[in-house]
Amino acid sequence: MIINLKFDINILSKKVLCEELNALSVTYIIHGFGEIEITGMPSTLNMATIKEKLEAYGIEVISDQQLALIQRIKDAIAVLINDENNYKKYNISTYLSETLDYSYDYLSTIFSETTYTSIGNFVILKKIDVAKSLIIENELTLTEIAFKLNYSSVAHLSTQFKKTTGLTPSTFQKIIRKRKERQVML
Amino acid sequence: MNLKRLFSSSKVYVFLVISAIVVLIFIGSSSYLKLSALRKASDAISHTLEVEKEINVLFSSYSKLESAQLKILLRKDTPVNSGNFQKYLKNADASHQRLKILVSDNTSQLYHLKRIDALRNGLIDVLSFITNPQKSNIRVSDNLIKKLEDLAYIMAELEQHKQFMLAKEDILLRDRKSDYQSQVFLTPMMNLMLGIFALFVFIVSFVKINKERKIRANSEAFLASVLANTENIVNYYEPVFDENNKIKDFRIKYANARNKIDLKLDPENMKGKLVSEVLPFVKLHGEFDKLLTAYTEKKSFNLNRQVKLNNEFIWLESNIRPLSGGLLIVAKNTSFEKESVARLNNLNDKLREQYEELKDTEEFLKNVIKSTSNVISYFEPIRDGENKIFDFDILYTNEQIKETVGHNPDDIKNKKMSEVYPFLMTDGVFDFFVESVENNKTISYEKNYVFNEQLFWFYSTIIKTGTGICVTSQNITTRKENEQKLIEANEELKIQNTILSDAEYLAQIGSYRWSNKSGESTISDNFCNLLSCDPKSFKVNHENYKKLIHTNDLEKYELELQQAQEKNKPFSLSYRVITKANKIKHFKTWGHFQNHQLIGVVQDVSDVIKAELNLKEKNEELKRSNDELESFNRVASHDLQEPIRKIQMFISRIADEDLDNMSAASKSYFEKINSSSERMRMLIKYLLSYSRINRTKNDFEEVNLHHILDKVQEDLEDRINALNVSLVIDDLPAVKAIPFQMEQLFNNLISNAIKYRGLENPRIVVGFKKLKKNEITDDFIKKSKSYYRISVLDNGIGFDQEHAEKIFELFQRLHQKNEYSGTGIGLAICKKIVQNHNGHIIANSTLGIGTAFYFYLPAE
Amino acid sequence: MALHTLNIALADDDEDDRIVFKDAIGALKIKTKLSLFVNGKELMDYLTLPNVILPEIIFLDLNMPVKNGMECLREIRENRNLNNISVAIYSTSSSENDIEETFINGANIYINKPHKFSDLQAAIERVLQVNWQYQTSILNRDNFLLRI
Repeated sequence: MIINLKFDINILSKKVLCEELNALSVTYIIHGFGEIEITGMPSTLNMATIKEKLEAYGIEVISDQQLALIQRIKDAIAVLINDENNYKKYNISTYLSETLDYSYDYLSTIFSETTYTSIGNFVILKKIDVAKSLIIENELTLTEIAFKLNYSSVAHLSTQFKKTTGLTPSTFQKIIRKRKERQVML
Repeated sequence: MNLKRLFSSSKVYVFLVISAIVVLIFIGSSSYLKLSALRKASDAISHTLEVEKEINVLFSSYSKLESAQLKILLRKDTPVNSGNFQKYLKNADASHQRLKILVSDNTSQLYHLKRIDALRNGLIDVLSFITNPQKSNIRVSDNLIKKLEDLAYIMAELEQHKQFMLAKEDILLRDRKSDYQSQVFLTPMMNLMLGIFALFVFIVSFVKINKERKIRANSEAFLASVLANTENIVNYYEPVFDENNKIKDFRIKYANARNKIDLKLDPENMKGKLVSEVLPFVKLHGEFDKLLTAYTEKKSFNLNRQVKLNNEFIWLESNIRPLSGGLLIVAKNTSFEKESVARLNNLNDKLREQYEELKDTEEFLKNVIKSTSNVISYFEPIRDGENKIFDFDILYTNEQIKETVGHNPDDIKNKKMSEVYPFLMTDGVFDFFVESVENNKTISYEKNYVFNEQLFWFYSTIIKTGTGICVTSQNITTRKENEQKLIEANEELKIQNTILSDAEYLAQIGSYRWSNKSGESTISDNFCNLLSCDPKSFKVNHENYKKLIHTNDLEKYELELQQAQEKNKPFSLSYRVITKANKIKHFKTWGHFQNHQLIGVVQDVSDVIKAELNLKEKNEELKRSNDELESFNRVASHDLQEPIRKIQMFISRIADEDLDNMSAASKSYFEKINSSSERMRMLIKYLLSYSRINRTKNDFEEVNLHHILDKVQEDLEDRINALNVSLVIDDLPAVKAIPFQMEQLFNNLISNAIKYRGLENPRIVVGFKKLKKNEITDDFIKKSKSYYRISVLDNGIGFDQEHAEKIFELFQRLHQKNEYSGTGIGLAICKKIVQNHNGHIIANSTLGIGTAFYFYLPAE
Repeated sequence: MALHTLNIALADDDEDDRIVFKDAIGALKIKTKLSLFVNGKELMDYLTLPNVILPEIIFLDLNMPVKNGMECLREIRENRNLNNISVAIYSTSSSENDIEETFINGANIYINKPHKFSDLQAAIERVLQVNWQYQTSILNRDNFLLRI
């Protein structure tokens, strides 16, 4: 008898994960994005065992080290963007490789593999994100924000902002403001 | 002067007398002393001489002794001559004694004398010895020689002493002689001086005494004459004492001549008599006691009383004063004075009254002249030889002259009329003056003058006063001016009235005046015209008028009327009337209450109202149609977008899947479908965009056109870079606009400029100019006072200027599809946007050269 | 992300649009699971089921019968359970105001329905990628706005 099967990998993998972890008496929270948080496990157990068990099902545990490194890269980038003085001196590649003590090639490879975006892209995203926060705070002018984030001009910031978000800084500000008004009314 | 006073002062005299006496005594005593000194000096001399004599005697005695004894010796006589020895010795001793007395004051002489005395004794011894004959010759001779030697020695010593004494005396004598000499000279001198001084003093005293005597004599004479001629009674009383040394009466020691005149008493008879006898009134009224007091206490007093004497009453003013042991009475018969004084007082009072009256009058007059606004002057005529008046003196002008002519009254006083007012001499005023003076007439006239570039009118009156004339001039300039103004105003009013009537007719206005009092209400002619009624046909008053008001509007009419009257605000209302021609007209009235009258205008606004209604209707229609159109547009565009998107989507799918597999023909067909659909999409997109352009007030904001252009530049960046477009943006203003629409506007214009570029590198210049309303030649309704004219100039292919207006129409294109792609909507969108902003857009172009697009935006 | 399958939902009343979308997403390297709904009501009914696996991104058309995109958007944003889901409005050309309105009402993304297939693919890919960054990184999700 031939039956056609369709696998839902998502459900499958999730089910396997849960069963295995439960069997190991591990308490966990599924964050839903290929990420689980281990909240507790028996003292007799160690990560290596869990990893082994999961790998049998083809569930690869991304080594903590790698993730941690990604996180560190992201944190480092965040720090650099917020520190306007240093940002002018360094370029990203030198800064990251010096700070994290890895070659930039290695870092960028790891980064793009894990996050599906390049460090460059991420930096832009992060900068625009910071810009968005500053715009909403409304304490600095656009010029000041541009300067703080090391853009050569307001126009440059506006251009990148529009490219990244599809909106002009002013439109963005207007939308957020109206959103808040709407929320207050509710 | 002081010296004179000094001389006449008695004290000085006393002093002088005393000093003279002193001097005399001094001189006298000194003379005396000098004399006695002289005497002494001469005494001394004689004494010295006597001493010398005595010395000589003594020594001659001794010599005699010696010689006698020697004689004896020689003669070996018997002592017959021994008696001589004793005689000589006695003489010597006596002389010695005498000498001793004489030189008792001179110690050295005394000493000498003592020595001499001693020597005498020796001498005696020696002499006695040698005269003794009993002695032997031999031994005697030895002893004798020795003795003779001793004798010679003694004699020599005596001689010495004698010489000493004599010398001494000589010296003394010399001294005393000189002394005497000096005395001899001074003493008589002094005596002489004494005599002269005494004489001098005597003469001076004599002169002085004489002078005094003369003066006294003069004074006495003067006094006597004064007393004799004085108008006062001058009497001198001496007190008469009784047994108890109390004053019981007074005796008249002196009475002057006046007594005769005033008291009718003979002064000679009076003298020596008692006061109580001659002037019995003294004993009355305590006068006597007063006299007593005056004398005893040495006090003066006055009496002023009426006394009776010899049956006559006399007023006496007496002054009683003590004077060297008596009383000096100086009295005056003041009866006459008293009466005179009384009369004078009367006169004075009368005079004062008169004076007061006069002062009041003067004051009054002064005030009148001061307070008047008229110029008052007084002129005195000046006559020539033939008594003809040829000029006038200006004796007085009041202050008012300053206000008019400007002269200071003081400056022109006493000047001639011909000097100060030369013009009056010739314009007839002088003749008036003369006439007034000569004929005693009062003349009035009116004249005008120019002073200080101002025109004055005066009304003057001339009145003869005394020898001259008093001229009063009233400044009637204002009155005259007012008269003139009134005339002019009247004329003006007439003209105004005519204009007003014409204006009323043109504007379809009527004016009214409603009064509470009957018969006073009026309405203008044109008002009647408006009401289509005959002016005479109805009684003009408010009530009758109200009958013409439309019944529906009457209530609000009354209400408004009442409110206007109560609150004192203007009466403004629109209402309807039914005219006499049975037509309904709309009236608009504006009036106000004044003095219980309602004055105002009405305007026939029927036409206006009608037109308004029409317009409103048309507007609404238009709006509706517009709205419909817009929504149609929007919906259509939007709904059309769907199918076209689908078409394109599937075109792209086919292209992705099977384009390579298609035949060449299919490919080309496919391509045409693609491009057509794309075209359609653009058309719809623009149409949608076009339909979306509307104006909401909220969307207007202050737009910085530079920001807009930056955005546009960004949007077109690729094409600008690829085609080497040089986009020059000059200064641009900030305008009140819808940002998104501005972006569209510039985007379209610049895109066009790029699209319709020429052969050379495209160059686009964007700039602006601010212009005032009246500077703009282009024809559009300019609501704003000034505009920004923004220009977009290019060096593209240009177009024929005759199409300049067509290009802004929807779907109008000047080129074939295959030449230049385009929808024909772009510029229509631009026009709509500009119109949205109350602006205007025009295009200027020259084929082959380039194009200029100008659009105006309001600058406020 | 490669291993992870993204759950995506699309609500659009137009069948053609749904097919095209599905094709576009299918061609992506990213592993996705797409749920399709014909109108807003269906979508909301699904989302409010208990124990349902919620999509990470919801694509919403605006013009739908029964319940249109705006209503859905509001409901999603008001629902605490659904608040974390990124919402992308996937619609035909609208006026600027309307677009802003969607953002104001809580949409994270607005996609103008492209005319070309490749454009659609690129758009979806971009959305997914950016969304992934916001899900996994230190970026502020509240300010996640993207317009294509």
